[in-house]
Amino acid sequence: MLKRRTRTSDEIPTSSMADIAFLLLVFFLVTTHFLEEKGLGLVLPEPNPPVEKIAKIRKSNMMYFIVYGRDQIMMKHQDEERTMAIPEIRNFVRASLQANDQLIVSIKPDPNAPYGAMIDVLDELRAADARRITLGQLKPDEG
Amino acid sequence: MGNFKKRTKVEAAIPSSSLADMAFLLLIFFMVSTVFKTEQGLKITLPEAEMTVKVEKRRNVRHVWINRAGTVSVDDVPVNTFKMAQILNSDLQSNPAIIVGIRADALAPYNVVNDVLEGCQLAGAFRVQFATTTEK
Repeated sequence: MLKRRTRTSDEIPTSSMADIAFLLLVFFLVTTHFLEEKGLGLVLPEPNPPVEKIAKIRKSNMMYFIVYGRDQIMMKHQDEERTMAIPEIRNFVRASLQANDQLIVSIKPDPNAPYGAMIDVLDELRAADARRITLGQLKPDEG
Repeated sequence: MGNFKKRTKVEAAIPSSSLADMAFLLLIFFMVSTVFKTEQGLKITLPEAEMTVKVEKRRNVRHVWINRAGTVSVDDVPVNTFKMAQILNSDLQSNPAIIVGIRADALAPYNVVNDVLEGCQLAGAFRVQFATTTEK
């Protein structure tokens, strides 16, 4: 039997080095996805403020949003009390802030309310440019 | 000043032999700068918010995960609020610029979120951020 011998070079051609490198480069470029940190920021108050730091707030300067669910949001301001849909909140708060710039808006979610509903309200308040916001769970004797 | 201008002939082409070097340089840059996700987290659907903003210093964000069932997890370990406060407090000792990123499911019960927020207050982590996605 005759063997046919073919001569093959066992070296990696340096000319294809660039191709290999670019291939890897494109792979990394495509697979890299940067983990983005996005959300709504909030600065919490101190847990137990000293007594002299506690300010008295007039009832007329407080507005409450009691959140039971996405479509069960109760607005309370002075004697007014009514349910409100989420898209309504923005313009309502904006108008109220124009009338009274001392207004503090308080979000009071029910312990069983979904977290997303609170975020919806907070989002609307941000959109209405309300700066003074408080956030606290609804106590059993309230609401 | 002489009137003689010295003309040097410079080749305008980029030598193709250095193409590989450039590619490798970029490759090494991407390999080094890629940070892989270090935690698994819990399975959640983030709430949507229109006013979502980006955090500038994302390396300072410390994640607290809350799933639909109300399980709280830090570093892939389920914790109670007290343990979470301890972890956050010790982290704050080494890096005071920490922001607590609350990654909670949109349907998580609010009382769990409230407990987490109170834990953050006790730990002295006053800067929190509710992770949301931009509305479609």
